[in-house]
Parts: sequence; structure tokens; C-alpha cells
Amino acid sequence: MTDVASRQSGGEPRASEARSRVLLVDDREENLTALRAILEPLQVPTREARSGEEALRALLEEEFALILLDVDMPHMNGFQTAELIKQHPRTADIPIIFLTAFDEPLARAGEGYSFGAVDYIAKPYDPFVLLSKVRAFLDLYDKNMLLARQAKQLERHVEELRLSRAALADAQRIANLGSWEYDPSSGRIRASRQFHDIFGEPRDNPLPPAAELFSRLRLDRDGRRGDVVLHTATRSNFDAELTRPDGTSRHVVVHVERRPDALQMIGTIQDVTEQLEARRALDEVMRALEHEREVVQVFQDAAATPLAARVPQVQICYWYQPAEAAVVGGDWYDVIGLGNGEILLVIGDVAGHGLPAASAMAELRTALRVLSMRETRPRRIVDELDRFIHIMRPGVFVTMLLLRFDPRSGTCTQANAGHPPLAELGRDGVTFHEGAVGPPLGIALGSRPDEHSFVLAPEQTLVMYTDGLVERRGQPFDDGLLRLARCLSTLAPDCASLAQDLVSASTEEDLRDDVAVLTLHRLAATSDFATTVPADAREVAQLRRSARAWLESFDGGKTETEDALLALSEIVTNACIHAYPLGTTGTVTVEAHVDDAHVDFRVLDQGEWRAPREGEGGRGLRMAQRIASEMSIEPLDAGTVVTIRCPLRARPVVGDA
Amino acid sequence: MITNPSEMGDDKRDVGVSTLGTSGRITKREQHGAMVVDVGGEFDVGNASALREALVHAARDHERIVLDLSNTTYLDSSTIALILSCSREAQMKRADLRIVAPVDSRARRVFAISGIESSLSLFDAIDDALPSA
Repeated sequence: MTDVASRQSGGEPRASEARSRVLLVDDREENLTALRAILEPLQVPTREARSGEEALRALLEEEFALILLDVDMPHMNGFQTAELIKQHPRTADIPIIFLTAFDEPLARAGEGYSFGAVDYIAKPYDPFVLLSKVRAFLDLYDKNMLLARQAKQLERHVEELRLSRAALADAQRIANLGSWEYDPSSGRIRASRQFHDIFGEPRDNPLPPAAELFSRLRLDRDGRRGDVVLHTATRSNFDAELTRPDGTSRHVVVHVERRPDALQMIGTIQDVTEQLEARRALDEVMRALEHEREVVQVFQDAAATPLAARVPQVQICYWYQPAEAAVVGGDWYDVIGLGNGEILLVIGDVAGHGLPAASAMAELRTALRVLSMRETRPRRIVDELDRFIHIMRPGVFVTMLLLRFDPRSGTCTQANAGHPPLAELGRDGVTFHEGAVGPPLGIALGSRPDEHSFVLAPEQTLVMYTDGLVERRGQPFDDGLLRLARCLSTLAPDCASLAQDLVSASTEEDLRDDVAVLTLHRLAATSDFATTVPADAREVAQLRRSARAWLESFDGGKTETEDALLALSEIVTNACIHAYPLGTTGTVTVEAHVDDAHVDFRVLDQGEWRAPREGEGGRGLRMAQRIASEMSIEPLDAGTVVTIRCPLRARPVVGDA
Repeated sequence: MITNPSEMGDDKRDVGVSTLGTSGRITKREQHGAMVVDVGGEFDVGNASALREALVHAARDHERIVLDLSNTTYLDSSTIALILSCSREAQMKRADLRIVAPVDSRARRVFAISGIESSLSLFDAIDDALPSA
């Protein structure tokens, strides 16, 4: 956990300063204004600097979570500024996003990376991309701050535990037990030396009367004064607090019994102060450990919610199972939409357990999501992430399997960095895609084997998993793979809880390691499609993408398919704009069906149909009409339904890739 | 996503790239004295305004603008409407807006569907649209 704590080299993070700050560096006022406007929705405090020198001053005065740094500035440019920032241990870890308006953006980006910068973005930048990147880095920063605090707290508790254990040992050695005898007729007590010590009375002096001595006790049970003990008739134990003549107080256990043949009473008194304190410290450490587990659970829960939007042609299952013992590992999975309709599936395993592994996992997951915004080739993503680890997280070791999947064609491209092989489950049983396996991340930068491509046929399933699923102590790794294959072959490839079933079927004994499983089942192409979206023109692109992903599974011809999607988009756009007057909201529902030579769309809205004004809307409908072989617009009691039929190239082939 | 500078000739200068979400991207460069606005990806009612901005901005400093739609994979009626209005504006200002839409391109297909081919100054290839060097 020290690596977490030391990353916050600026010293103890202050809880009151939970808001992460962003430093904006640009020599031009209008650019600063634009950046402020773009970041406004994040509601994060920002500080502005108009030169590299000013930025360095700001960094000395305050802590920042992220720096947006213009490359092209007079006197000291962005790269020179970054070099100075990276040289200073207090600021070296602050991520930098370079803003560059200049030509040769790629070469410049390379220059940026050699400083350990985290990202760069070219001007004029897309506000959405910039906002997403900033949000991702701030998210990361906040998590690191939280982890650093937790780690510090835990270290403190562990130190307390160590001290308490020592105290407990001392206490037992000393055996703080005093014995006494009480004669009610005289009201006096005879007692051992330890009794004197416990009560804080000098050993050689006579003791005060028993009632006076015992009235210094306050019983835990009911708060009564301890002299009531002297009137007890049965054998009893009392927990009590003793206040000594010098004002100090001790926790004691008093044992009393009455001799059956006499009126005399005998008993013992034991000082348990150290034991109680040790137990309290132990409880606190246990609570801290439980808290750590909860914190890690937060990360794992986040990991259990992959990013990607729903993809109609596949069924994705995932399951994370923490180890039975109170240690949590660094396993994770993720599903990321790549924007071109493809998805990236990730499974990874950060070596180690507990907070350090979980925090590294969270950081890598975020880094990978950011990297995948501009790089979609699995091998390149692996290379970039490796570089990220070497710069940002030296000492972390990770095995990882990346799989890029095209839902339309079933094409898979995998890159494997020291991870167990991808398994495929289908009609012909279980096979493993060994591919070429490179070294784990964090070992050594260098060449890696090429990525490996294959096609996943419909109704087949890919299974990605971490080694906790197959590794058993004292057994060869290949035995684990055989057991996994046997286990998988008893399960149905299209099962909706495949990942969970696999974990419970293959882990009969206690789990020593955590396990993550991610499965991808390619569905058979279906001839029907339906979706409902908010009536917002900005949603049309997303709707079109999912309709395209569905329609492309049928070989309806590229031009015909795109024409049909254009007609559909125009009708949906029209419904969004014209059915719902400004300021009202609603939804648009699309139902579609494919047959041999056509695709039929029904577009329903619940708004008030108004004939579009001549111009934009009118043109859209006219275009749809030209594409469609049939088209009708029917008013409903509430809303409108538009039906169109668009031609496709004859004989679509359903299914097989 | 970004034009590789090494692929460009001496007289080309990359002056800016912007990506619009995951769907569209606009690259501007000067070539043979013309401002080439290279439009890739998808443009529809959700992001067409960015294209208008790029064209208006280009028209500020250049009389000759080439709108290259070779790499446009999707355009809808609102994109068509905006290209038409920009083209009209250019005519009024006696500026020159040339549109590259190769025969097999998606843009040419959508122009045909909307029946506006004849109102635009269309070219099959970027080299045809640029003034000879």
C-alpha cells in the first residue's frame, strides 16, 4: 500500500480539499474562455495561467488534479513547461493533457509522451471528447485521493495493532492478579501485594477499610458503587472501573465468593486495562480491514458495470467472485464501445491483493477506456497501456487479454499479454484460441507478438477469465484448462447466466484467488428489430447505428442498406422535430422486419403530427419517399405511425459468417 | 483520424482537425491556394452545424473552398440543406465553393436521391476540383 500513499507526494491529502482542481494554461484569453465554457458542466474549480512561468507558480501554490496545457506559447512552450513540471517530485504525477493547434500533431504527441504526459488533444477540439477526457482523469484523481486516505488510515491501524499486541503480551507476563480476604466483622481486608498495586496503595501500609476501598470501584453492569460487592451472597464476577488515589483509572474484574463454612469472603481482582485496550484496537483494525474490503468492493462493483451500450447481435455475461478469505484481488473486466460499431472486451488481472491491486486496477481500467478513444487496435492498446504502466505505475504487473469484436461480421482480433487463453464454446465442444502470447504488462517495454484474428460463428460463445478459475495449488496449469473445458462443455453457449454458472460449477472448494469471467455469445441473426428512443434529434445517430448493426447482418447490399437507413433516419428526425412542439418531450418507437427483398419500418410517435414546413423537414420526407417502394402516414388517436418499405438486394443470407 | 503530414505535398498545410463525437470529423488544409474542408464520417441533424461553422470560417479568409465529401459515410437532409445554403451564399458573394463527391460515394448517392445534383458544382476527384498547380 505504500505505493498508493507515496503517489500523493504532495503530503497528506486534505479532506476539506476534496474538490479536484484543474489548471488551464494558455497564452490566449479567448482560448481560456473557451476551455472554461467547455468544462463548465463538470463544476470543478479551475485556475488559469497565461504562460508556462505562471503555471509553475500556480503549481507551487496549490494542488491540482489535472493540467490542460497549450503547446504553442511564447517564451516557454508547453513541452518545456511540462518537462519542468515532470522534474519536480511534487508535481510529477499530475496528468497533463496537451492542447495543440499545430501541424504534425502525431510527432508532437510522441514528444509529449516522453515526458510522461498522459494525453493530448488537437485544436480545434471536440468539446465532447475534451470533456470526456477531463472527466476520466478527474475521476481517476478522486479515486487515488480516496485510496491514499484509506491506505494511511490502514497503516495507522496496523501500527496500533502491533503496539497493542505488545502491550497484551506484557500484561499477561505480569499477570496482574491480586487476591484478597474480607472479614465483615472487622470490615478490614487482607490482600496480596498485587492487590495493593492495583488499588495504587503502598505495599507496606495498612489498607483502608474494605468499604472505602471498594467504593472506589464503579460497576460496569449498573453503575453502582463497588462496595455492594461486599454484600453479595453468591459467587460472582464484576467488571468495574477503578479510580485510584492518584486520579488514574483502571479496568478490573472482581471475583468474589463466600466461604460456605464461615462468614469470610474471599476474592481476586484482576487489572484488565491493557487487554481491553488491545481488544479495542483489534476491533478497530478489524473494522478498518472490513472498510478496506468495502472500498475495494466499490471498485469491483464499478468494474461489474461495463461501459458499452447494448449491442443487439450479442449476449454478454460477466461475473466477479471475490476470494473467500478477506483478501480482494485486482481482477477486472470491461466492455467498451469503439464508436464504429465494434466493441472491445477486456479481461485483466493485476498481480497482488487488497487496496494496492484494486487501486491499480481502477486506474488501468480508466486509462484503457481513455486509450480506446483514439486507438482501436488491441496490440497498440496493449503497447500504450504498457507504456502507461512504466511511466505512471512502475512495479505493477498485469496480465490482460484484449478482444476487439465486430458484431456484424463476427470478426475477432485478440492481443494477449501473459493471460490464460481465450476459450470458445459451441456446437463442437470447447476449443482454446492460443494465439501468440506476449509478456505481461509492466515487465519490459519491447516488441510483442502480432494480434491474432478469427471469426466467431453465430451461436458460438467466447469465454474470457482470470487464472483464479483454472489455477489450483500444486496442480499443473494445463490440468486447470482441461477441467475448465470439461466444465464448460456441460453448459449451454446461449445461457443468460453463463459467467456465473461457470464460476459456481468450477469452484467447488474455497476460492483462494478472486475470479472474473466475461463471456460473449454471438446470436443468430434475427429478422426483427425494435427500439424506443427519446424524441431528440441528437438521438437519431445512435438509433441509426444500432439499426445499421442489425440490418448489416443481412446481405442486403451496401447501397440499399444505407438508403434504407437514410429513409428511416429522416422519418425519425421528422418525428422528433415536428411531432413534439418545442419544450415537450416524448419518445419515438421503431419496429423493423426483414424479409427476402425488403426491410419494413414502422415509426411511431405519441405527439401531434404537424405537416413539416417546406424546407428541411419537407426535404427529408421527400427523400424517404424516393427511397421507399411504399410509404404511408396514418394519424392515431394519440400520435402518428409512419410505415415504409425499402428494397434490399434480393436473397439476404441469414446467419452464417 | 488525423491526416498524416508526411503524406502531404509541399504546398499542403494542415490547419486543424476536429472530431465530432464518434461520428464525424472535419479536417481543414490549404492546398494550391484553396481551403480544402475534408469531411469524414457521419453528418446529420445532430452535428451538421459544426460543418456549417467550418465552412463559414473557411469562407472568411478564402475565396476558393473545396468541400471534399469523398470520405463522408452518411449525410442526411439537414446536411443537404446546409450545403445548398452555403453554395447559394458563395454564389452571392462570388466565392467559389466546389464539392468533391466521387461517382460511387455516399454523398453522390444522397445528392441524387434529393435531386439537387444539378444545383451544385460537383467534382469526381479532389485533383479535378483544385486549380491546376
